[in-house]
Amino acid sequence: MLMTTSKLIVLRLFNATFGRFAVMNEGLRWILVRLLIKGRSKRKAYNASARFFDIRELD
Amino acid sequence: MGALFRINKNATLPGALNSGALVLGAEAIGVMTNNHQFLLDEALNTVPRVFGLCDREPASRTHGCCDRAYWHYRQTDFANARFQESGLLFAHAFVDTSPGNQFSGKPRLLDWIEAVWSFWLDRRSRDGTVAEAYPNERSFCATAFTAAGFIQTVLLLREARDWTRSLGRVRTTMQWLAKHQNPEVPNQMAGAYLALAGYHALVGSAESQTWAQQKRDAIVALADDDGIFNEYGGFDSGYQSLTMSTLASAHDITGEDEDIAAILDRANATMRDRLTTDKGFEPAANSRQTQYLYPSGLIGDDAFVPETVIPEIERGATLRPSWMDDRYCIALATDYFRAAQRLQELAGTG
Repeated sequence: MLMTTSKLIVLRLFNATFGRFAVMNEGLRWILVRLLIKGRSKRKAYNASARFFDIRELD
Repeated sequence: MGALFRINKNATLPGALNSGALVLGAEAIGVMTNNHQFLLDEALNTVPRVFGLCDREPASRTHGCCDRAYWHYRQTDFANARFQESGLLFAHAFVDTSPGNQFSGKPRLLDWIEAVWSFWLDRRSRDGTVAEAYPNERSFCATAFTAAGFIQTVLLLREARDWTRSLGRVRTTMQWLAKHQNPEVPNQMAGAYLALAGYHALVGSAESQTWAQQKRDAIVALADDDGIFNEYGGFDSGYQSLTMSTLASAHDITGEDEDIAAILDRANATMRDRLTTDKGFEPAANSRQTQYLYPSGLIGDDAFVPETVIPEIERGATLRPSWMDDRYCIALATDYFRAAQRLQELAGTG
């Protein structure tokens, strides 16, 4: 999921209001992890690779 | 302002030398050959780092985007267009045939170059502009330099790929550049002129000629009697060298233009007077305290660049592309490619 302006504004609003409380932060994190990482298919799953250049890509 | 705007139909390489016959001594040729290798190595060493900035995965929605903070780390909500100038850097790496260049002629590289410019074309605003600092910015600087990068890439690779559709799409950008000015920052005006001059060389329409001519007259009017373009009210050797490099590239495309050639001659004379090892390479002496120097526009038929400028760069007096950790390494490395090519051609003509 790419960041967009509207998503950024919503996130900032959350940070400035409910996000001031640790329990709310942890709750949002719990939801997002299940929504964006564990709940996605294998193919679309987040892959924490660096994706820097490898000379073999040119072969 | 009188103008001699003539298109060089044989122009293929924006960095190619059009300055006529030169007679150089054997010693100068030897120095140029050695220093050409230093510049080439610096440029080639920067290329893999810039590959890493770009999304090279064809299935990705951001395929071709070179702003890693956007497509990979997702820290920003729009892509900084200046990173797309990587396409021109890659094009230089693709066409360079020097021994040891492991990127030369690689078909995969050609695909990446096309993806970089497709992303740039797709992400422009409706009026053809692009953003650098915030969404919908309509940045004159980013629009001018990325458009110039795209046009120079097409000039370099017009035999390798069909760019007809892309050239049709880029018209809105050229129209916007023709209508807008930023006279306080001459290097950006020079970038816009380079884009428009190259666009006219490629499409050859009446409107493109008018656009290039008007921008050319605007940039000529900004130079002072010494060929200096003031940046924010003062002399800055870094920005002056960038403007000279950009104008020299435009001059290579257009062919003979007495006014631009005269400005470059006067500017080169001034730069030789100011850029000396004892007084000229200090960033504090620049109006914007610029730390870098674009060498390609300073190259003439003397040994100033090989014997003064490049040893100073090697000594560490100015930034090298391999030292820079942001997007500006892309344009500087591209200029190192241009400078290496010019020095090699000068050595060849001797």
